[in-house]
Formats: sequence, C-alpha cells, structure tokens
Amino acid sequence: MKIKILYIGLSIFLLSWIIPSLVQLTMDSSPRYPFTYYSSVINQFCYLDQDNDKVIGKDMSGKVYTDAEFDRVLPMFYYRQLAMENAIPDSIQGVPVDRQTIARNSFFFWYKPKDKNTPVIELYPMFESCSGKVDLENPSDMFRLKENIEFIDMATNRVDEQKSARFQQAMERAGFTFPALWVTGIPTSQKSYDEGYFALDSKGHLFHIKMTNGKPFVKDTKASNISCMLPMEIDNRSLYGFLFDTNHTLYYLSTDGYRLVKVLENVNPDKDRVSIMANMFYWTVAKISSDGEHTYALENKSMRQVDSLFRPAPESTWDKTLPYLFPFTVAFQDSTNSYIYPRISDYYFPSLLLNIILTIVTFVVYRKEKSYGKYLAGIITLFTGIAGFITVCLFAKIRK
Amino acid sequence: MEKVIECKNITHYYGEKLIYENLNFEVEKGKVLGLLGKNGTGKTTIINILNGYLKPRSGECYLLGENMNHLTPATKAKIGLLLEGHVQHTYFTIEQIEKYYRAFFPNWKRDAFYGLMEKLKVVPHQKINHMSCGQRSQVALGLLFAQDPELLILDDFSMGLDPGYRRLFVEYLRDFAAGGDKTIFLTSHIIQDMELLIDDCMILDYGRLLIHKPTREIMENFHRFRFSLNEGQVPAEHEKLWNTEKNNGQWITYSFEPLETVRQLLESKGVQVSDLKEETLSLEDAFIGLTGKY
Amino acid sequence: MNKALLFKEWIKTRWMFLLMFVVFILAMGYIALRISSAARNVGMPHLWEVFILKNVVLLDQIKVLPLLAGIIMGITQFIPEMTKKRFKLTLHLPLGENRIVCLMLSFGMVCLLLLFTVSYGGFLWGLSADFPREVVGAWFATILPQVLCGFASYLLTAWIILEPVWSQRIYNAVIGLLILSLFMVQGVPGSYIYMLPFLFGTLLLLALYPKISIRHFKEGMQ
Repeated sequence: MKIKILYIGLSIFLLSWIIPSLVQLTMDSSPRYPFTYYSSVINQFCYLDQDNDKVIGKDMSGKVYTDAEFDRVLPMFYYRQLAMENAIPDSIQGVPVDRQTIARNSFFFWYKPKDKNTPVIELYPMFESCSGKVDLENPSDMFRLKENIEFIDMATNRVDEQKSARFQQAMERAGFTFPALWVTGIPTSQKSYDEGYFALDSKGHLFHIKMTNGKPFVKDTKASNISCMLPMEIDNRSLYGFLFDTNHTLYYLSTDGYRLVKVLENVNPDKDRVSIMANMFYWTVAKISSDGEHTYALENKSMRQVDSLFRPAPESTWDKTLPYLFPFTVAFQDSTNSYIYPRISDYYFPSLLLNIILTIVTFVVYRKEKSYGKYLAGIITLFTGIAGFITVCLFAKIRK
Repeated sequence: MEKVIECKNITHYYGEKLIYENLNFEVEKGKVLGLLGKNGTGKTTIINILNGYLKPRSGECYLLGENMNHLTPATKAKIGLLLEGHVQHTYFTIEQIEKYYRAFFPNWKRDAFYGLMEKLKVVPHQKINHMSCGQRSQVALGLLFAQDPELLILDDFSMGLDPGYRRLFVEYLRDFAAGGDKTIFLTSHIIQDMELLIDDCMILDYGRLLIHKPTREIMENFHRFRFSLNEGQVPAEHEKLWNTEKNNGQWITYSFEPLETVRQLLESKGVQVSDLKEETLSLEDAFIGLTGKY
Repeated sequence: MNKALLFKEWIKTRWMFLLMFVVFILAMGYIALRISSAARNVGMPHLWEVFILKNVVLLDQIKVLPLLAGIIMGITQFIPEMTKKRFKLTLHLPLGENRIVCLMLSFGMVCLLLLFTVSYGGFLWGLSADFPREVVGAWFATILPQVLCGFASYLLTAWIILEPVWSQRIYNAVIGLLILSLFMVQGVPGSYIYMLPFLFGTLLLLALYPKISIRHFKEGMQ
C-alpha cells in the first residue's frame, strides 16, 4: 500500500504537468505589448496600435498617423526609410543630424533572464584587440578562468604555459584575487571591434581583461556589487555593456574611465525583461515584469527620466481559466532560465468547485468498494482535482 | 496424522461465476491425493490458491503448517511444484537447468535427474526448447525427483502426454511415494491409470466438492447397476443413486449401496424393477458415474 | 542461490546483451569517426568553437540508444518469465520474494551500467585526449540524463511486463511515457543539473513499482 501511495503521488504529479500544458496549448497565453518609441520630434511616446488586422501609428494624445507621418514623427527609428525618401531633417532639437550620425549613435539592447541563467561551457577565445587589421582573427587557443587563467592550444589540447603565466602575472599585478566568479565577453570574431572580457574576482571586483599587441591588459574597473554583466559592442564605442548590481539596479559601464551610469532601478534580472532602444537624444527603456510593461524615456546624455508609461499585463484566457480548472500545476521549464527542474505553482482555490464535482463522480465510481479506499480516493480527488481523479479512478484504483 | 495440506472455507468466484463455496479439505502426510474433475471445475484454481498465486474471495490454506500467502523459503524448499503444461525454463539446456536448480535445494539428487534423462536419450547440452512435449514433461519430473520434496504438487501432469509417457510418469510417481513419507497432491482430467496411483480421491463438480473418499472405497463399493422397467415407468430418485438414466432401452444407475438396498430405493415409488445387475467399475467409469457424462 | 538466480538471468539475456554491446561500440565508433573526419576537414579549432560556443553535442544523435537498451533488456529478461507464467516457478524458489525481485532487477541494472560505463566512458576518455575537460564535462552532463533514462526505461518495462492486468498495463505505459519524457527534455548542456536529484529519486521509486505488479500477479488478477 505504501508503494501504491508513492505511485499515486507520482501519477498525480505527472498528470498535473501534462494535462495543464496540453490545455494551455489550446489557449493564448503570452501577453504582447505594442511597439513604443519616444519621439524626439514631439517629445512624447508614440506606439503602433494593433486594431484588428491593421496596425496604426498613434501618439499618447490618441492622434492617428499615416505610415509616412509615423516615419517622420520617429525619425530616429525610421531614419533608413527617411534616408531612402531623402526626408531626414537637417536638425532635430537644434542639433544637426544626418544618416551616419544617427546610425552611429543608435543601438538596441535586449535582455531576458535566460541570458543570465543559462549554463555555458566556460572556455573563451581571447582576441587580439589591436591587430591593426579590419577583421578580427580567431585565436589558436581558448582560455579558462577559474582558479587561475590557462590558455589551451586547440590543435594539441595542451596548456600554453608561457602565455598563461604572462596573463596570470598581469592579473595578479592588477590586484585580481582568484578564483574568478564569472567571466563574460563576446566570444565571436564577427564583431566590429574587441574589448576582451570582464571578470568578477573572488572579492567581487570587476576587472577588464583583454589582449593588446599580444600582451595582457588588465584593469580594475572599481565597480563592485555587480551580479551580472551583458557586454555590448556599439558603433560609437561609448559603453562596454550593461550590468545589474545586487540591488536590482541596471547600469551601463562607460568607456570613459569605467564610469558606472545608472539606467534604471528595480529591475530584477532573474524575472524581468528589458529592452533599450537608444538614439542620440533619448533612450526608450522598457521593463516587462509580471505586472506589466513599464516604459521610460531617458535623456541620452544625463540618463534623466523625461517621461514614463505603464501598461498593465493583459490577462489571457489561460490566466483566467487556469485557477478554475486546476488546483495546481507542475512545469519543468519556464521563461526565466534554461534549467530543467520541477516547478510547482501556487494552490488555486477556485478549482475547488470542479474538484467537488469530480469527488462526487469518484464516489460513484467507488460505490461498490466497501473499504476505507473510497474515502481516500475522494479526498485525493478533492485536493488534487483532475489529475487525482484520473489517477484514483483509472490509473491506480485503491482497493482493499 | 500430520496434516500437510489444509484448506479452510475457500470460497472463490471468477467475476460473478461461483467456483466453490466453503471448500474444506485436508491431505495427510504420506497420502497421494488426486483432485479430479471435468474441465473448468477449478482444479488449477485450487493449485494456484494453495501456492499463493491466487487470492480467493475468502478462506485460508496451509501448506506444511504455513499460510499460503507467507510461505517461508525453508517451506518452499520442501514443496515441489509442477505447473500445468509441465512449464519450465525452456531456454536452459539439460545441463544448465540441473545446475540452476541444484543450488537451491540442499538434498539435491543429481543422479535421479540424470537417470531419467538417460532414459529419454537426450544429451546434456540439448536445449529444452528443442524437445518434444513428452520429453519436456520428463525433464520437469526429473527436476522434481532430484529436489526430493516432502510435498509434491502436480497440476494436470497428464496433459498432452501420450500413453507411454503417461504410464512412465505414473510409475515414477508411485515409486516416489512408496516410501510413505512423501505426500502428493495432483490434479488430472484423465482418469485412466489413476487407480494405480492415488490413495484418496477428491472429485469436483461445478461449484462444489462432490466426494472426498479413499480410492479403494470407491473402487470396492461404487457400482453400476443395470435394470429394466415396464414401458412408461420411471424409477424413484434418491440422493444415494447417482446419475440414473435410460440408455438404449436399458436403465442405468450408480450407487455406493449394495444390490438389495439399490433395489429397495428404486422401487420405493411403487415401480417393479426386473433383472437388476451389479457391475464393478474402473476409476474412470466411477468418475463418469459420479459426475455424469455432461 | 543468488548466483544461480543470476545465472538464469544471464542465460536469458546474454546474446541480446552482447548484441547491444556491439551496437553501442559501433555507435560510439561512428561518432568518433565523424569527429576525426571533421577535424581533418575543417580543423581542430573550428571543432572546438562548434562544441564550445555553439553547444553542439554529437552524442545527442544517439540519445535514444540507452532508452532502447533499457527496454530491450527488460523485454529479454521478463517476457520469458511471463510466457506460460513461468514466473510462478521463480517465485516458488526457496528465496524471499523481495530478494528474488531485487536480484533480478539488480542484474538488469548492473548489465546496463556496465554497457553504459564501458561505451560512454570509453568514448569520453577518448574525447578527453583532444578536447578540454569543460567539453568532456558538458558532454557528460548531456548524456547523464539519457543514460538515467535507460535505467528508467528498464524498470518501467519490467513493471509493465510483470503486470498481469492488461488495462493496468496500458495505464502503466502512459505513466511510463510521461516519466521517460522527463529524462528527454531538450536543453543546453548542463541544463539538467538541478533535475538530477529528482531523476535519481524517480529511479528509486521506479525500482519499487515492479512490486505492485508482482502483488497483482500473486493475487491472480486478470
């Protein structure tokens, strides 16, 4: 009987995973927010409104724009279209602009929690940052950085002792305390320039490590309390990347003396998604969390917040139905990280109504059973709903 | 006497169909008991219940004093079991199966097994799969004799055997039982040859135990009686008269009672019985007399 | 007595076991051949990049092999027991019922362990000559759930075959499929790390399930 209880438990667990996930497939579930961008022409948010099958450009006052008008109200976003039409204005906000200036100062940054919470193979190619050539060259070795730094030659799978020692000494000289907690960089030669890697040492200091002219370059950025970093390469080379500190504040690391510049507070890197659409005047920063989408317009130079917008998360059919169908659900994957493990939801009390009906059906199924089994079956159905009902009435009938 | 098998108040159904209700019987040490019955009367069911391979609706069985559901290894070692159809591990060779079982039984009699195998003219590395049905039955039997159990339970041992092998089987069993300290419980639906072997006879009918008596008592006392009646007359029915019927113009009945008692019973309703004759029976005829042809 | 029971299991399964061994060695040889041919054609550094930066694990191509091995092992071991209900003979042996079941399942588990250790272990050992420990570790982390899946499929097969009631067999198979899919979720190397205790726990549970089937068998349920 003990084994049978374990069997019933596992069956309920598995059915609480598969049935909800099948039901979810039949309903829409992920919320979508309209594209929103801060206009440097009219100094307010503009967005694309999905109206049936038509997409209409609007601003916050509700004014409707034609496609051509919308391009012109957001020249920083649609500059390529405007360039084709020869319609880029000579100046915006008193600043002269042209296609090249706009392009060089624009960038996009997308962050989702999975970017941080994904296992990686901890070996990285160290590029030559000052090769003097147009294209970056792939190195013949890769390095690991943990207890120490080691370069391993890819052709022979042997440690390059000399190169490793050079870097090791340079890092120690710069004050790096081993072991390293993490390393991050852009490990591809398909980029316009290389800034090497950033590593957090065991004391929580962030170091910049790269190779210039074959020699190690190591520098303490003086940034601390950093929980993770997402390196970027952007055309104007104004920043190394974005960082989250342990207090859930998002910064960027400026190339101007490793200055940390605060972008946004209260961003949980393990739960929230962030998108940044930056141009030479404003950054449109959106944080998508479970309650909805928070959009901010920040002034490029000062990171001063000039406008903000909140759109509450729309409740999907799935969100509305779920609590009435299932007392709880089990999932093995979610959008916040790449790891596979069981996640059990909260208990949904509204499902009790359905559970009571199923419990009555359970007693009908068990009407001939004289032992305590029928009460046990009833209780199981009452608390575990559909999954328990299928288990005790079909998969594992409780007999004396 | 020591009771080797004890069944108490066994009731069993297959679904709604009653197999038996409150079946009680015992087998004493040293006896050869034959459980006879037509197909479908529940012979194999009893064997399964005895060995703990079937849970009856109610009732208990004890083998060598232990409850059927909790036989200890020591007790299992004292019981030899032949499954219906002489089932064995046929993927073994003769040699392998002997080696396999030898490890489990302390009193293993290797010669008993190989002695029988020699008679079959099979070679030690022959696979049991490749043997005839009769040869396979002898392998199963040889293993049981080598095990030398105190209690031998044989389920329908005669199934599928030609007369030669059946007789061989019976003779071996008789020798095995001759010592007097071995108990054999067997079922069969072929009654031929059985009077040579079984001491006690249990006959099952659908839903009940018909009789449980020493074989000798049946052979000596159970007779067939032929008689004639005037046209249109019907003999009296009585619980001591078994399966009275008219066959080819002549009446037949069976009974444990002597001739004169049978006559009185038949005439108790005022009919006149003429030329009443008593005939002695083989066990097979007695079985038909007790259970009827259908 | 234990040895004799294991001898029976060996006689039943030896040819299939050897066949599986050959298939596994061939499969490993095939993957090794593909790596060495790729190394000649595109060069070792490119292979490193593909394995390290693109998370390619070539052993993923044979991910169902352990699963199949488990099922085949279960079938070759337990189908002969259930034909003509020979399992009654096994249960009638003068050994405790738990010991019999435990020995039989242990035999199958050890065979699979041997098969997986020798084939995958040999492969990874060879891999470590040309690739750093991080790659070997990532590949090991990738195949570990697949290998555990092989053990799970074996225990599930035993559970399903030993079950005498046909409808229950079908329910068991449904549950079995759900369980096996837990071992086969697509993910990057290392994504199973927090799942491993759960998978090991599931295996422990599955090792107990054949007891349910045997109880049904002993009660003569049809």
